[in-house]
Amino acid sequence: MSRAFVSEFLLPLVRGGALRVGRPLSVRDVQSLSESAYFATDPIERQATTLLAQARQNQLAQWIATPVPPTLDQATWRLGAVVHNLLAMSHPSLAQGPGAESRVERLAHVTLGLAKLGPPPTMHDVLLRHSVIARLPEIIRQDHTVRHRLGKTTFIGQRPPSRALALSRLRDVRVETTRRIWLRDVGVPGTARATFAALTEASPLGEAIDPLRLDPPPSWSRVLSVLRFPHLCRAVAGRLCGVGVGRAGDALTAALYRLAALQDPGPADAQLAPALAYGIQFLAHLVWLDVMFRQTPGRATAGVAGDSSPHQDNSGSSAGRELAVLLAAAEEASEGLVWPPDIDRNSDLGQRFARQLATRYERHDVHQSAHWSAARRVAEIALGSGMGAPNAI
Amino acid sequence: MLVRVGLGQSRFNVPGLAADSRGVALGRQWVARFGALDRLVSFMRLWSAEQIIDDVAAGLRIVQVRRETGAREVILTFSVTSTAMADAAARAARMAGGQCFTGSGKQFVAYRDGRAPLGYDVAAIEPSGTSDFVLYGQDQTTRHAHLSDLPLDKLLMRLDLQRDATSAKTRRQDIDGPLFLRVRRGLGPMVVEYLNRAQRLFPELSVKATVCETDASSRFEHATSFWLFRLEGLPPRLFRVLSGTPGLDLFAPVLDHVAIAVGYHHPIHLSGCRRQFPDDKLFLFAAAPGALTVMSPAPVLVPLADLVRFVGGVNDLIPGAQAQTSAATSRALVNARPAPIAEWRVPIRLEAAPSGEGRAVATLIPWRQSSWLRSLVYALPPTALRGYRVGLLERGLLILGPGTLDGFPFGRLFHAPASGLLVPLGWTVRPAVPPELLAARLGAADGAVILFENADLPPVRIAASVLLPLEARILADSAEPGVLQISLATGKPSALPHVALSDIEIENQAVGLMPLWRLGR
Repeated sequence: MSRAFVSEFLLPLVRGGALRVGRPLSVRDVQSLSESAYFATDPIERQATTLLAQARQNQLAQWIATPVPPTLDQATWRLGAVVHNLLAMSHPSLAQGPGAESRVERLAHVTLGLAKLGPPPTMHDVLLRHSVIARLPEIIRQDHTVRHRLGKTTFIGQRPPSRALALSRLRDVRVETTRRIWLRDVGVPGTARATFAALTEASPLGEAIDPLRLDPPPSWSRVLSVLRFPHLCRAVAGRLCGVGVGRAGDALTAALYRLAALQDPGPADAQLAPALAYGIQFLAHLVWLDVMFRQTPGRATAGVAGDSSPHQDNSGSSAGRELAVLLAAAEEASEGLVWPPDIDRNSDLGQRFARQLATRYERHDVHQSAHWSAARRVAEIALGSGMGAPNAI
Repeated sequence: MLVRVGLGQSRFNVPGLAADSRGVALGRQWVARFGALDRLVSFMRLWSAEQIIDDVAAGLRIVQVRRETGAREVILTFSVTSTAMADAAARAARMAGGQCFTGSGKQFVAYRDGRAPLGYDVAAIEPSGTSDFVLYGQDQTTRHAHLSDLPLDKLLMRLDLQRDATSAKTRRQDIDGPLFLRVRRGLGPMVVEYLNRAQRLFPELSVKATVCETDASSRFEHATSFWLFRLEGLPPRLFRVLSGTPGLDLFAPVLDHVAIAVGYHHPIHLSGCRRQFPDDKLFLFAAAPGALTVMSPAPVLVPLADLVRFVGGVNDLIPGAQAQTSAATSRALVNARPAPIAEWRVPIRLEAAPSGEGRAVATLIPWRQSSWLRSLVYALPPTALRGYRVGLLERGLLILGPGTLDGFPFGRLFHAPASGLLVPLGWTVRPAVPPELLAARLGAADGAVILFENADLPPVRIAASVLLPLEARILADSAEPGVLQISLATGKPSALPHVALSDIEIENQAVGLMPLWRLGR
């Protein structure tokens, strides 16, 4: 298959540019691409491969100090193909006209096979995969509607050809351009939700640093595959502090409820309690970071809303409520779920953290929350894991 | 009662009647009576073929009259000076079904015919009473009262054109002289481009043009505007195209300022009616009934090359707006006036050159091939490094040589039809305005360069400050991908190359037939 997939798709996906979406890729196509890449003679493709490695290296540099240029491994090809096929599901030639639903459904089925890479086994794999699809939420699509005297024609993700713009004065041609963010405004078809979930499972770092995403909602079963690496766990926690402890904590708390209610196909029953305990400790860790790195004296006890980021948690007083309820329930069940063992409660840091928690509890009146009993139950399940002291973070 | 004039008779009863040198009785005026206007038109057609109407126009009068019986008729009178003139008119009038008289004042007697070669006289004059015309005919004497005058120019302009019997086979060779082409306003720019290209192919073709506007002749009509071209040396092939294209009306002039739609003719020979059409106006007789367009004053046509306007914020070459005039209108006549040519634009575009022309003087190297250039720089001689200029553009690296560009086997090559004007090799700029003029108008001065990259992109102007000698560019700080960036603060090279990120935009491409074919395999 002679297709300039690197220069026309993978490189723009990482570095930016025109993301050319064409004929969908099958499993066999991906294998052919990966095999032919070793013997590529096209100078443009070879140059694009080099530039792609540099761009991915820059992506990696945001997470680790000494990244090395990644190579085009099998996972990269498959992730790229999955994204390509997901974008092709909104291609007008496939998503419109008779039989569109069956075409998209068939494409989603094939793409699901490509996307089932499973959770990344190592931290290096997490970062390599993330470097490919890190900018997925930034993909945009411009739709051009050409209006003229006799009607209008819409070109989805395509520039209007010159014939559509010809005789512009005679035909009174006007062009309206609509800019859409693909993931937010166009989205993935319903039949491809499983495909997108598999993609997220294969590269979960993007989901971990974007817990506010509405659909699909954050899943601890996927996020835990990232947080189990301490280095990444700290990095993700730092990113979430930037998002806003309250808002991110609320979203992750809701995801934790889904995990405890077995709505999230997560770990086996034996692993559920440790996973819940780990999740609670991670959320408490976010508050710890908020207390420790918000250096302004006096503000530590003043607002709770407490959430440090200046541009976060301004959406209302309810931000951080679910997080406060869960932490209060966990602290009542066992202080070890919230307090690190190496922190003296009488120390300055301990007192600041205690004031932070108390302010949060009081502000949100946690005991009157409708989720109080559920939070207590989650804390009790987590306590059953025996993880009383957070030493993993 | 009529009596034949005898040979040598010199006294007549009819006032004003006199014998000429041959003894023919002839009055000061000659009169033709027709039962209907169409017969008068037939007479005029026949008569105008022999008689120059302008010679008799001074005394020519067409009058609608009512007979004493109530019937409406048409009478034509003119001052006659010779029997030859009267004989020609009589011949035409009789062929058209009219009756001929001569006399003066209100009394007219029948003009001579075969039965009375010297003409007729009357036995006794009848009182005219309230009548304006008393016509003594062969059978009866009729009296006519004046109803209205019909000016000759109105008659000429109100007549509908008649289709030529051979209109379908009208050929360019059958039409002499220049042609006028009237084009609907919306089609004007395309026709201008077409004729501009044609001028290149047919050097004998000379085109002038202008825009005219018509005044609304009533509140129920809208003012319209159109393009008017004057074509000289129109080749037969273009004649067929222009005469057969809807929206385009081709006119063949019968006078300098009177033209008739090709394939049609005026019922009256207008070549002898020059005085009826003032020289300061232009008359276009169209095929549609009553569709005469009168442009007053006659529009000033300018050469087509002067009408080209360059797109891209460049000053146009259009001369000042032409003077507007107004003219009286009538229901049948549509007066037009030259319009300002302010909104007319002809986009400059690239077209494949019919033959390879020019030598490569520049190349545009895409950024993805910049590493190739970087490798090539090591092989270039010092003269090349000094002479070549390079500009870092969004579209790529533009390498500009002092003369012919040698040694660059990649990138898109450009030739320079004029100094400062870069056009892709194998392409040319249309309309075919002089390249030097185009370069000047586009601002290619002071070392600046105008770059036409391809037919889809508008030209860009590259300032001289952007184009640096290659050697200077090599030594300059660069942020290109792959260039090692030196940190002056620490003295250590940064580990990562700089990668500029840009928006990721979906560009859907054709998926071909059966895009899911063999997808599941």
